[in-house]
Amino acid sequence: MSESSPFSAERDEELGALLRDHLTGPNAERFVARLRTEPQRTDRDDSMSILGRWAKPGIAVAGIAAVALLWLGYRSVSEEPSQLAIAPVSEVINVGPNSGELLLATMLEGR
Amino acid sequence: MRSALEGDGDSFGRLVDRYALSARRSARAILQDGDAADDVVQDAMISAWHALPRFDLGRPFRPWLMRIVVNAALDARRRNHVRRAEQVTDMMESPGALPDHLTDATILRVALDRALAALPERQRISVVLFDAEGYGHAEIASILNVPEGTVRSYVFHGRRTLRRALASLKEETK
Repeated sequence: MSESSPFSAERDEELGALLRDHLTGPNAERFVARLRTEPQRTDRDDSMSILGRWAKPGIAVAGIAAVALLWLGYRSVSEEPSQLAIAPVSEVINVGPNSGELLLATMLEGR
Repeated sequence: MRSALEGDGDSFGRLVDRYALSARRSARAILQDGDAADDVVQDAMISAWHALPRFDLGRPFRPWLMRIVVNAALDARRRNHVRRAEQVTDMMESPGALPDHLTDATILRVALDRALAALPERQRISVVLFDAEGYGHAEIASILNVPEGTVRSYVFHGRRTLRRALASLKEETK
């Protein structure tokens, strides 16, 4: 374990062996065996198939939501202002059969 | 390698056999917590298994896998920093003389634990990858995503600290 320069590419075999021994940890064979089986429990295609399963309903829901929003937007732009504009006129017109006389009497009283 | 890439579990198992303990040592060097390191290596192997179809066969596999392991360990260390610090303090808070009744092997283990814990994280993993696992400076630079000169500096300073710690241990136990 002698000092070396930062430019040396030589390994310190003694230190390396000490570190390997120290860091390997207990039950190494059991650990490797566990590690060997674990990744294969999750099928490699699982994540993609899960995304695939999510994709179709997701697109359908997004489509329905988009159509609903468009419909609501169209309604608010095209129908609601005309109803508001028409409403007072229709109320006056639909008051009853003598609505013209009633309107005239109201105006004369107001004078 | 190609068959593992195409989804053959047995081929991937052989890669695990070859690199599992190296991955474990590197994760333990970063995390200094055996159980957490084992969990990290397991997660990293699952990530590697899923990422393997995108692996470029023209590139070396070992640094690619080690990069996944090291990044997973560094992420876990950041997440569990407070918990890890609490666990390490048992060793760090009593850096004085070692009790007399310990065996030489235990004394060496405790001294190495202390010396490794005292090293900055990047120096620690650089020394382990260079001296214990046989990676080159350029490979470690690509794993840690730092310049090669920085890795040389990490290895030099990390080694020096470890050597001094072990030398003083030898003096104490004479």
